[in-house]
Amino acid sequence: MRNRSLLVVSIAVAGALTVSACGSRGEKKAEEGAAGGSVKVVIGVDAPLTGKLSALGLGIKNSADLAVKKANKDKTVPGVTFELEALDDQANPSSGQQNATKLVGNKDVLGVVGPLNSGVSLTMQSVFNDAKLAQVSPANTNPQLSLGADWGKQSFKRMYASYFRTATTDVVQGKFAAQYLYNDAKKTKVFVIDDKKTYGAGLANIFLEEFKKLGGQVVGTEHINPDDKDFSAVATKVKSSGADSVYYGGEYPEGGPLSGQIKKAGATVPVFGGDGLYDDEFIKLANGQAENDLATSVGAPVEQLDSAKAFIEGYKAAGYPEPYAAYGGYSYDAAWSIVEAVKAVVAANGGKLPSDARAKVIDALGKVSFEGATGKVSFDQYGDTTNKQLTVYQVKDGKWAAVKSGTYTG
Amino acid sequence: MSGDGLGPLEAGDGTVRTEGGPTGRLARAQRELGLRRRYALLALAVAVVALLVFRALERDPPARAAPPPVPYPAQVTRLTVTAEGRAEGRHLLVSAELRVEGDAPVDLLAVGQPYPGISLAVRGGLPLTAAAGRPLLLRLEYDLTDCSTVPIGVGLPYIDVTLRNTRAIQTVSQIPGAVYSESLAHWLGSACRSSDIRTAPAETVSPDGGVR
Repeated sequence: MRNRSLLVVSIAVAGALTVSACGSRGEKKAEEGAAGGSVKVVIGVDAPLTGKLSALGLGIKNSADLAVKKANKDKTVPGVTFELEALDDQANPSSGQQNATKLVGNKDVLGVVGPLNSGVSLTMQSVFNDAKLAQVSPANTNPQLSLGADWGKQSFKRMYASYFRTATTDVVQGKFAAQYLYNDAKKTKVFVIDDKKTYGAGLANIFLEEFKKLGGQVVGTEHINPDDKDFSAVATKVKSSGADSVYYGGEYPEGGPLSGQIKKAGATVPVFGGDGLYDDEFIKLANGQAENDLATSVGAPVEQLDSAKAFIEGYKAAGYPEPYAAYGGYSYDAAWSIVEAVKAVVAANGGKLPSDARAKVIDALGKVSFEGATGKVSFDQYGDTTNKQLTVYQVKDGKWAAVKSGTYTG
Repeated sequence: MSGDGLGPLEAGDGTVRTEGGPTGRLARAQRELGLRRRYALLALAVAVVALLVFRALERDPPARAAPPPVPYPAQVTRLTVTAEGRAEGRHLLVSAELRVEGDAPVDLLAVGQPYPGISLAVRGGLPLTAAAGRPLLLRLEYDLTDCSTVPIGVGLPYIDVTLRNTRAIQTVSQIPGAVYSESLAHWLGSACRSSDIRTAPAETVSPDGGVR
């Protein structure tokens, strides 16, 4: 009996140790997965990492970095280790073009995430396209980039096969904003202002045309210079116009102060803008005057996306010092689309990178389809995202709050 | 020495006499002690196994995690217009589909459109349930009541839908695109130009078709 008792204990302890050991093996496996593969593939990033728009640019860089780390940890592409090369364009078109040339010159770069600004992208597209290097922007919204200069005449022509984007375009954004302002917010007299840049002027014009078709009245239009800080003259014109709302095509570094100065001039009307305003910096720069201001931004609210929650948890766990900001999820998905394309190219070539990998990555990008941080990710025949969601946000109690979402299903 | 054998045996199973005398009590006590020790060892073994299994399960939360909630209805439901509308005077009939991705059904509780001079209803009434993977066919019935309050030729008119599943109730805009905007524009242009449905618009603006 004593021997049998010892036998029972021995079996129990051995069994327990076996269970415990299984757990240890699982942990060890995860650690080994971080080692990565043998062939280096670089994913480039171009964004404003310094300057006024760096809050958005750093979120783009960090989010792409998170995708690269996950791909290496999970060995998503066997035999391939991804690296990130991030360049700063300072939201400057000429810097963006120089960066494009530099990234093209690095033979290990098989895809680029970026840039933030549509105007910067215009200078980069031909450089990437000539080198057959894929570009996936998480933030460009100007329609011309994918549809050609005559998109407004319903004549769509894809000029650059290398260009893709995970953000929806201003055609949806500007018109949905006009519909919301007129139908939901019940505003009928709008003053339209833009910053003369590709993104801002284009978005403001799309908004203006739709607002007029709805029956709304455009009581004034003005342009501002992006480098200005004093908008008091424009603010006075808004006040005297009798506008019940302002639409601003531009970005938060100017949009915030503009909103504050319009209110200071006595026009207590909401300022509405696009995704270029949707950042906490806008609220800070409005000097306490941003309450009830509005902005559309690409995608659905993150709290409604279970996939985005996983991204957010991963971002926090990685310990990046800057927030992922407005385009974090779209940047992660842009980088991951390149990972998926590389994976497809390697798999189709017997597990190795082919010599013409760049061109093949472009072909593969057109076919990717996966569940990303922002939902299903795929591209149409123009390189535009097939996920055309957007949301209207409003400043309430000093914070952005989602008020209405829309999905283009045409 | 023992006269009937090779000498005394060590106390053990079946070797101790149990009847009477101090020797019997000692043997009983020893046997009880042995039983208690066996029970204690068994109890210890069970406790060790239970503890280690519990800890192993603690380290493997996915094995015990509850299934993820179904997605928000707005994230898995799409309303598309499937054909050009059929206009007849102040009435318009639009064919549409409600598609649901995933496994969970979604209820359509309400539909709406923003222009005060138009009313919208679903033929047959609501609510309706869209099963996952099987499109729900809808007949959207529009009635024009006031031409002075409807825009003609807007680019992206939307339909608001109120959706419900086990996760949430949400009202979101669905933007059906060119076929829908052109159907509305042709209907309103025709109906308001040739009828006395209050004030006719001064000018008809052509819609701007497809959106990329």
